[in-house]
Amino acid sequence: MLKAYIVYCILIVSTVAYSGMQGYVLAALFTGQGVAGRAANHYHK
Amino acid sequence: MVTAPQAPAAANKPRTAKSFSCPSCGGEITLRAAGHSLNAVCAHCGSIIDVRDERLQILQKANAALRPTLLEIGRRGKLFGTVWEVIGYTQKSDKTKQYFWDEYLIFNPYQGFHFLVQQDGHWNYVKIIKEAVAGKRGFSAVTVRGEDYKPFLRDNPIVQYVKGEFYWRVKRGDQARTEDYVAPPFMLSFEFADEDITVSQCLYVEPEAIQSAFSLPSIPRKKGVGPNQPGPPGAAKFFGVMSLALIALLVLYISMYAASANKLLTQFSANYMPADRARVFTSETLEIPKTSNIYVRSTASIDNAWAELDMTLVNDDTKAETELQQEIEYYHGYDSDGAWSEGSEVEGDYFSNVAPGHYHLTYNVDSDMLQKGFPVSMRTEVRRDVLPGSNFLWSMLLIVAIPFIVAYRNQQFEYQRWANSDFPKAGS
Repeated sequence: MLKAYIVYCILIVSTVAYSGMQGYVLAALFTGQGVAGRAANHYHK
Repeated sequence: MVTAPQAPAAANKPRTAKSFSCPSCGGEITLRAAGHSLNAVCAHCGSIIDVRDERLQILQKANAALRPTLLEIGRRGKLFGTVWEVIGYTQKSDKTKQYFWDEYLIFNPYQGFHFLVQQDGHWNYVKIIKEAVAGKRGFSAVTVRGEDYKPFLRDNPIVQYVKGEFYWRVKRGDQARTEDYVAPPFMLSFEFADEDITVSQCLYVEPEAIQSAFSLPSIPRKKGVGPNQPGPPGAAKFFGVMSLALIALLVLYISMYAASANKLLTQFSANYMPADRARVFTSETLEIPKTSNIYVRSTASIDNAWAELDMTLVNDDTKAETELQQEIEYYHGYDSDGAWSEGSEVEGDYFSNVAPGHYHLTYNVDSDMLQKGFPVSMRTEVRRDVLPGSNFLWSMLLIVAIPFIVAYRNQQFEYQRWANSDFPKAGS
C-alpha cells in the first residue's frame, strides 16, 4: 500500500510538471472549459 | 461400523501410533502421540480415557455428541516448514460463555506439541515457551524475546468440549485463569493452574495460510480484528512520503513560477448599457510565441448581481475556436449573524494548452443588472504563460488526503482491536 502511494505521488507531481509545461489547467480537463477541442460547459441563468 | 481416523500417507506417518479399545464402547482408539499423551477422547462415544492407566480408566463419560471440527483429528498439514498432525481439539469459552474459540493440539514427532487457536476466523500458531518472564508484576506490560507486550485481557476460560488426545489431563468443565498480552503479530498467554504457570507465545497466521497448509476447501472469514492481528502499514511512513512529495511539489512550483513569462498581452475596458443591442467585444491580435495558456481576468461593476461572459478564442491562422464561459457573481448583505458576502467582482479563467500563433478574443456580456436596466462596466486583462496555482493546490490536497485516510483507518483498526480487551480505547 505504501508503494502504491509512492507511485501515486510520483504520478501527481509528474502530471503537475507536464501540465505546467503545456499550459494546462488540470481542473479544466474535467470541465472542458477553455481547452481546445473540448466542448465548453455551458449553462444558462 | 465407525472406525478411528485413518492415518494418511505412510511417508508422513509418525512411528508413535498405538491402538486400543475404548473401555466404554469398545471402539478402536488410535493414539498418535503414544508415550506423550495422558488422556484421549474416544472418537466413537466421546468418553475421556486415561491412557497412562493400564486399566484405561474412564475419566469422564460421554455427555456430548461428537461434533465435526474444521480440522479433524488426524488431519495433516505443512505449516512453517513442518508437517503437523492434528491430535486434539478443545473448545473453550470465556467465563460468561459468550465468546467461544477452538484450540487444536498439533503434533510432530521431532518438534513436539504446538497449538492452532481459532476465534472469529483469526488464527494463531502457538508454542509454549519455557523461559521465565522477567519483570512481570501484576497485569502490566512485559518484555519477552525483545518484544514489548501490552496487557490485553484477563479471563477464566472454561473447557466446553474435547476431542482427540492430550499430553495433559483435560476434561469438560476444566477452568483456568489466563492473562493475555499483545505485541502484534505476537501474543503472550499466561495460564495459571494451581502452582503452575504456562506461558505460550502466539503468532498470528492468516486464515488462508491455514487453509493452504491443511488443504481445506474453505475456511471461515475473519470477523472484526484479532487481538494480535497485524495492523495496516503505519501512517508515519505515509506522512514521510507525503512530506517528500510536498517538497518536490514546492520546488517544482518555485522553478515553474520563475520560468513562467506571465506576460500581459492586452487590457481593455468597456461600458454596456441596457439598451445596447450587441454587447460584444473583440480584442486586438494576441501573439502566442510558444505553447502556453492564456489567462483572462475580468472585473465587472456588479452589486448583488451576476455577469456572464461567453468568450471565444479564435486562432486567426487556422480559424479554430475555443470557448470559455466566465461567471462573475457578487452578493452581500446582512442577516442575524451580521454582514455576509459571497463571490467577487473579479474572476480569472484560463484557456489551456494554446498552440503558437495569432489569436483574437471575442466575448459577449449578459448580466441581470442589464436586464434590470442598470449599466455594467467591464475591465479585462489578458496574459499568457501564467502558472495556475490551482494545479498545485489540487495536487497538494490529493497528496495530503491519503496519509490522513490511512491514519484514520489505523485508528479505527486499533479501536476495534482494543474493544474486546480489558482496556478499550476511548471513542471506539
